[in-house]
Amino acid sequence: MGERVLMKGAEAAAEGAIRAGCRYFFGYPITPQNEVASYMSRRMPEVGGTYLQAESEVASINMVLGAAAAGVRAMTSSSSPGISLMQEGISYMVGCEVPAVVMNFVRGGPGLGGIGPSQCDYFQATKGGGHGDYNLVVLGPSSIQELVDMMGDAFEIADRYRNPVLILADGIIAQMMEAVEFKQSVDSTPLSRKPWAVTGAKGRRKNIINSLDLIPEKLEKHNWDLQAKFKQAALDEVRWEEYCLEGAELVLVCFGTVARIAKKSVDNARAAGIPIGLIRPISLWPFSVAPFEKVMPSAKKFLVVEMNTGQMLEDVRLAVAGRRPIAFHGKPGGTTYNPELIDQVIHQALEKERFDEHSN
Amino acid sequence: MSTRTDRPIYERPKSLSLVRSNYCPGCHHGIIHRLLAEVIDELGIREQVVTIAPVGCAVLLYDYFEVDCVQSPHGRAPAVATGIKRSRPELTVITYQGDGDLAAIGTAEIIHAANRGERITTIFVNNTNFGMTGGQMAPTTLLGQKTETSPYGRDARANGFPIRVSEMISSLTGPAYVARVAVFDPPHVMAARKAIRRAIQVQREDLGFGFVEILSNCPTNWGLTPVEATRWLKENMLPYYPLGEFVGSTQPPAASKQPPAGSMS
Amino acid sequence: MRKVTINEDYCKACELCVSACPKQVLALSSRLNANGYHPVELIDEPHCTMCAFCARMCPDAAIEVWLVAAADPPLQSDSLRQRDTIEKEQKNG
Repeated sequence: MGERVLMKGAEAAAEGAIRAGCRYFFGYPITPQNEVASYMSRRMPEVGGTYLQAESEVASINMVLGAAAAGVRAMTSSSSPGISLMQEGISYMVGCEVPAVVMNFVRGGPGLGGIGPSQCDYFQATKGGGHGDYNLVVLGPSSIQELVDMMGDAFEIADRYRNPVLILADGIIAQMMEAVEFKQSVDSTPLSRKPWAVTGAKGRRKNIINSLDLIPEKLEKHNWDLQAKFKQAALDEVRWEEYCLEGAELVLVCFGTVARIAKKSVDNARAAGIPIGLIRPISLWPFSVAPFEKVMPSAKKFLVVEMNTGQMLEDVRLAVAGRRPIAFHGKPGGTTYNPELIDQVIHQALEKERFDEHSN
Repeated sequence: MSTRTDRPIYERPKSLSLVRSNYCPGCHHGIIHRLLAEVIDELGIREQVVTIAPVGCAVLLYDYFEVDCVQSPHGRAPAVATGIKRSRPELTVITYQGDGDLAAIGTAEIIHAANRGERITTIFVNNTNFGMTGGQMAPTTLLGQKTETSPYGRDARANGFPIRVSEMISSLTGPAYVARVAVFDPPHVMAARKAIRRAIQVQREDLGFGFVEILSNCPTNWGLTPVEATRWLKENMLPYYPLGEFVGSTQPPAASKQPPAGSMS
Repeated sequence: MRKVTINEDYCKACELCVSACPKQVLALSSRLNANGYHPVELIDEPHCTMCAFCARMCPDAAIEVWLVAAADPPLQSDSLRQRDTIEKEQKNG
């Protein structure tokens, strides 16, 4: 249906958001995703939307909060240090139940870090990041096409739960170019009315968008109400990919671009007769436990490979629950994997009884 | 309905909610809330107004007005207001902020919203301290003033000087109206109301950013009765924070000097 | 005939009205309201000029000033009438 174009990931993400009905983008420049803002600054006026460059990431997320409170589809995009600045705003949006999409193109950290790609914000994304008891649905794409397709889902999930959705990509996806097809047209159907939004108290009582409650019992109830939403999301929004899992004895667990690279290594190993498979969690929250149960009968060992020092590793440990050994290999700081390196890691994992060393 | 042969000289504004406020006795927040409600009534815009509540004594703002309201993180109200106004420009968007919210943590957000000439209105309540948290020093605390965190009096060397926010904002081109007023007696209350009205009108007339700084008392944290606190304000705050319109003066220009009859010029 | 109505539940006895009144016709009463304040009252009605300075200074919008025609029954202000209606509606669910 849609046209197929060669696009840079950051720009494709922006176009995907616009196809999903987003007409309000507030952002601040940060490498490696500046093309999102540049693209939005050109494209939003073309579709009657608004691009506004904010004075900081703090201001960006609060502009998103305001626009979302007013009932429109709004988003922002940043990279690790900027996402740190947004944590307050994200916590507020959860507390006052407004929907939005936040994109993180992860770079090396901590601190100013580097501009190479990384996956070191997994904890920040899935274990809170901001203050309070809460979760966001976190989606981790491994290709530009997947990122573009995910945009519509992200806004729809956000609206449905009245909760922000975080897309956890990395600098590789932001900067690479791939052929991508946009399945949604720009002139999508009008979005649903949001009766809770602040649109002016005409013919109704006032709407209040608020996360404060000074009465502990009421705030407790609010927290359990939020948890009920997260429980529902944990049932309905979990997604993953299984690759060559049939009879797999060594099971790779990777997400994002690492999974994509690792598939080549899985092919290589299978060609050499090694019974190996891959679980690729796509929703990083809620984390997919089902494929682990499915592969447990044949699995002898799990091997987690990610561009950090061991973050998704902890969710894998929870899913495996001590039933099998787990090996780990990580590459923080902006260094990346290639199939040859993962081939080596696989062989080390097969040879060594205990293998959970970090790379050098 | 009554037969209405009676006439109100002053009645409680309709946009003010029928609740007893949580403000301390004699706190000028109450007067300012009342004025804002009067102006909303006068302009007939209750159904179009969205207020943004700060973090501070006015954090419960949403309980006091019959208008839509969004509660903002501390200092971020101008950014939240920007998001609302950009997505729904037909609304009248008003932030209401105190010293800490606007002049400490929120300095970047107010400067940039003002600089963009954002079509929003900010009401800034200056009572020289962080009221809600118990009276700590604020950027607007006067030199020598004792607060919870300046027990020996504010010292310029350690903590710098009080910030004159109105003057700072008026140095930007985006604002269409900037004024500093006070509400310590009825004539000044009436002038403050005019300023609030003008600051809202420049938004509605698409002229630019509207800003009113209102010098206010804080009886509880100043340790004074409301009447004494009002006197303290007049004696101590007015000399440092002069009242006036800094941008978008509503005063007519002074009459030009006429040349004497019969002169050449 | 004139009338100054004071909502004794909202009054916090701050005395800003007492201080603002140019004719000194207001003072704290000896009554206590439900919040423990002595609400203000009009103590010298004949000397009230209906300038409404008291109403304009009140932080709680507790004071209303009306010019009431002599023939009318005692006035209940719109805001008080509204409040009664809201309370009745809430009671009836």
